[in-house]
Amino acid sequence: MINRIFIILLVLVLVTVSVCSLSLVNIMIFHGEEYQSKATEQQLYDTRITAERGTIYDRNGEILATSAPVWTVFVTPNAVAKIDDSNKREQIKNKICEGLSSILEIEKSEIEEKLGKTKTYYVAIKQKVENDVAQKIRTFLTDNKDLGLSAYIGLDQTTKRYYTNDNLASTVLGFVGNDNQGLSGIELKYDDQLTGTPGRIVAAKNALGTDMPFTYEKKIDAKAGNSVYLTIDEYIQYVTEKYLADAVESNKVGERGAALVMNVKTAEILAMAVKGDFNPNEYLKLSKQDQATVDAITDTTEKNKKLKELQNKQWRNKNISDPYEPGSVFKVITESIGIEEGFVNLNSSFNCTGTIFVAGQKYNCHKKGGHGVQNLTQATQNSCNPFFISLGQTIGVSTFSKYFNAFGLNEKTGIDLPGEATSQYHSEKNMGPTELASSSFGQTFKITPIQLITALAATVNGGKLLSPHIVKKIVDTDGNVIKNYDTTVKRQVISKQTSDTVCQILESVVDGGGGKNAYAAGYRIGGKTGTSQKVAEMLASGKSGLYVASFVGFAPMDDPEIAVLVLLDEPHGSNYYGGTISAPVGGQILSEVLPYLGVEPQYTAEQSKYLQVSVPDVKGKTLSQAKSELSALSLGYRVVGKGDTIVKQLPASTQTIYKNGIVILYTDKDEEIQKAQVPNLKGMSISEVNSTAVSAGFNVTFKGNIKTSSGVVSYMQSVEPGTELDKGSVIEVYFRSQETGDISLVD
Amino acid sequence: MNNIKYYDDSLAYNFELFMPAQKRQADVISMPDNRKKTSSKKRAKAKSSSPTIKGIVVAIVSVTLLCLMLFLRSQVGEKQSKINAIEKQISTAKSEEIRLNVALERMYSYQNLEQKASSLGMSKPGKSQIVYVRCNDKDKAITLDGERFAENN
Repeated sequence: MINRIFIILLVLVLVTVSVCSLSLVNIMIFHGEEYQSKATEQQLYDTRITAERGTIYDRNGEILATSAPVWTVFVTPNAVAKIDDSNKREQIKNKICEGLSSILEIEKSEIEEKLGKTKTYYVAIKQKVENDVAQKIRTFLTDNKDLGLSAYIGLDQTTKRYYTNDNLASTVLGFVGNDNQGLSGIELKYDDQLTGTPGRIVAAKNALGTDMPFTYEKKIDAKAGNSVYLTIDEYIQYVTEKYLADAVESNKVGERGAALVMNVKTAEILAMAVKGDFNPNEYLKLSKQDQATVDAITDTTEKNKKLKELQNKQWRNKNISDPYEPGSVFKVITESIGIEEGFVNLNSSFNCTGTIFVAGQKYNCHKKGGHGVQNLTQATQNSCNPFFISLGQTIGVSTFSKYFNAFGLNEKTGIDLPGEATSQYHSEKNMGPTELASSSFGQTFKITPIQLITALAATVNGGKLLSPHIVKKIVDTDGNVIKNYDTTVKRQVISKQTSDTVCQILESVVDGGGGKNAYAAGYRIGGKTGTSQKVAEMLASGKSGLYVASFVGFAPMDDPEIAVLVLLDEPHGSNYYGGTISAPVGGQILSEVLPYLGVEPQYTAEQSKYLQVSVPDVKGKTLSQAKSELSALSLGYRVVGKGDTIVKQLPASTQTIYKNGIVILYTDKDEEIQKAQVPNLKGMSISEVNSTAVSAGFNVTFKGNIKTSSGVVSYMQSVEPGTELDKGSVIEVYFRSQETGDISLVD
Repeated sequence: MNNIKYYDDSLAYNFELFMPAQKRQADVISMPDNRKKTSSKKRAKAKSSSPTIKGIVVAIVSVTLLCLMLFLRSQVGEKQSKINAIEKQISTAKSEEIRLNVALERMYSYQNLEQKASSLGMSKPGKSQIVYVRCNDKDKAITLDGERFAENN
């Protein structure tokens, strides 16, 4: 009997132990993580500390994007709703609404609505407010300590991204979202480097659910992200954007403009610009013109669709994401292949009759009647289509395709930016004589600007195809270099000898060919212009007159260092030729970039004719002394006042002005500085500009194509007409030739 | 069955097992008491007073340790609170510093400088206006011309 009881008890115990054990196994092994997390959630208070995002610098250490702590202002509607005394509750609600409305400049009704979400513990009122506003909130809470407002209003620290130069390099830098995650550009590509590691504060909670800060707390500090140094130079970027923006506006460019400046020896990108672009500090905001387009749409769905389309468009980096038909600029590649393979040399001649037939297809030259007999240099200066079609046919499909690939035009360049597009081209097996003919002068295939400038850099740097890159190095928070990005040579495409010949030809294009508007006094510049038809777009839209006006320039041509590519997509101004509207932009950029990089100008006797003179210091001298000094330098003068000694002069000493310029001499201390309205100096010859400016009391300096005084007209001035300015001030005036001749016609 | 002991073959059961247990005298060893009656008196007195003193000492030590622990904990809390406040101040100051730096950068941006210079009628310096200087000394700059002049003399 006892034994039986014992056995039963034993069995019961065993069963119980087994059930418990199985249950423990189930809890600990199969659902261990779940219960562990529930327990942690119940017992621990976990706060995330946002890591400071790394800074983006230009190549010289100038800040382009940085992060700083800011605050999110929030309210706790649930806590407000739990106030028992209804009068006090209303009083507090009113105080919160009034206070926050006035400090944060938000409608009172909006705050009331948010406070109405009584089941919610946390509602953000305004995000990313800066310290000055946060301080006002703190003061407001202190002032209303008796109401205990700090229980209902709070400030959460977070970080904000600042782009110090607003639009500058915006399509390169990209932008970050609300959670500081990179969404485009460098911010996206190097997000893992810039983000850093968030920290945490883990504290135990007591039975009431409130945390026990100093008792059971562990703080893991956030680790700031690494900093990224770009190859971009802030000044070169600024200059590039300035002239590109002017060109986009003055030529009524419909599909934005793009420009690239590259060091051809290292493939470092010194500037990468797109206009119109956006301000990354307000990346959702459209330009006034685009916003007006959106506002004009009444249908909400259509409106939102258009809004997104235009936002995406302004964020796109045209230089790497939008392939286009390069047109005549591509002739440099065809020419390089021809020279390298021995099909053509500087002495080769060709007779252009104005048309050429390939497999029954007729191709016209942009010059009706043709260029006649011309050699390789002249054909390039004239951008003669029949010559390059003929050369293409001589080269043949196989060799052309081999070099097309060797120049890297069939693959992405691998530049360290997101969203690089692939090219669209005729493969060797799909390329017939007509495809070869159109490809020879840069039509019927599409490549990106970055592919083109990389390939063209190889034609002038000794023949080496390099990997373009935009990041120079990555540095940690202590300043240690984590990674350096050096120059990578992909392959030797053409010989040094061929490259030297190409340089010689390209210099002649700017000296006396279609690229003369890229001329910059004192510098040896080479280049090639292009005006390509947007054939596919014209066929698709039924529109006519859609062109891309482009120019590629190199300098200094004795040892090329810098390449500039400018393209204006769909110009709708008075002129759409690359040689007329894009080449001057290239010249303007080079004329500022070269002296900045320490390349000294070398003036010829012809160039010296238009050189400026340095204004002498005549202050304190007698009027007669001043007059004789100025006259000796071929400078005019105008005297203001009745005194005999010069007390003030404009322009100031050492400023440079045109030889026949004017110096305003003040002889009375109390005499007010004379002012005048800047005249319109556009559309005039050099002499007209000078006489107009001097008669209005201003001085001028000449920029752009001033190699010869005939056939050039002014098209831009540094100070807009109508601006009131001190008499004697200096205005920069830009000139260009109206001659054209670089269009790639496809019938 | 285990309680059946075949103590004697004639007896069926061991009845001793049911008898009340007796003290086994032989197992107890009595020890001689050599202590004096006076010392036993003192010990009795000490016995009655030592737990009280020990208790008091232990209590005092415990209370002291407890107070010390609480004090230290409050000190840690206070310092931690100060650290948090300073960290907040640092964060605020840093935010302000970066904000002001950004404002400064914007103010001195190339665009602003150029606009301002143009509005004042200024133009970019020419080659003749550029003077190269040597800054080998702390606060002295010597133009190249000046140096050559000095060498010549």
